[in-house]
Amino acid sequence: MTIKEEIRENVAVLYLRGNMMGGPESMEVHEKVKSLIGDKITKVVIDLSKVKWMNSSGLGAIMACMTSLTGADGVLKISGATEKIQNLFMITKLLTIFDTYETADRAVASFKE
Amino acid sequence: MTSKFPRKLELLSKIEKVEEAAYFAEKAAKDMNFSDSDVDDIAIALTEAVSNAMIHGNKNDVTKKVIIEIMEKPDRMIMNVLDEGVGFDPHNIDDPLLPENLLRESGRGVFILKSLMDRIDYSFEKNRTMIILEKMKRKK
Repeated sequence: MTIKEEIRENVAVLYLRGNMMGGPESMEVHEKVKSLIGDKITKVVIDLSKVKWMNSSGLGAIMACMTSLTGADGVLKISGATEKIQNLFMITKLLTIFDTYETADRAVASFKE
Repeated sequence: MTSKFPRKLELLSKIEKVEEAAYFAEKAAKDMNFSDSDVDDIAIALTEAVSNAMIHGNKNDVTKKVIIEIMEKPDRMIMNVLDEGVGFDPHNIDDPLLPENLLRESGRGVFILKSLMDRIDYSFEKNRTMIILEKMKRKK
């Protein structure tokens, strides 16, 4: 999995590409979020439009990011989840926890509302 | 094409190998002509079973193997996942949907597995646990 980072108006967008299935790369996104918190950036969007498969370990990595951000008074939003990943969020009731958006642009814009 | 099956894959208990299992299942499911959505379900479900076998069965002992067997029946796919562990009580798993568990970073694997497959079963023997996953074939 690869992570591309973009900072827009003090919102970090992390574009993930690949699979999130528990390998060490799944935890890289959490390390990246902790590093952003260290840089005082606590509004984060994780874009999943290029993630093919995610399992419970991948969900765990997303939850770890959320826990760290919440602890720093930050906010995590999700964008671009495929129908399959959206379904995973739904059956695990995590849709009740995350704000999800079709695109990263919309997720970033929502921080202004 | 039943002649292409059974297929077998052996993995050492290294969590980065889980992805290999997903592609193995994807190929098999495509060869059995499952829909794209079912192919994804099958691949993800197998990663849950293999992760469980590596972490909870083989206790992350990299010398221990996880063996995956995929078989085709006229109406369904069967995947067996064997580890070298002593087993667990599948009924003694916390409900990940309870409010107190919702924010946990782990504990959703078996729940997801059950959601994605049509049937799962377990077989416990001395130093060997097998989980059996079944997915029914549906008309596309």
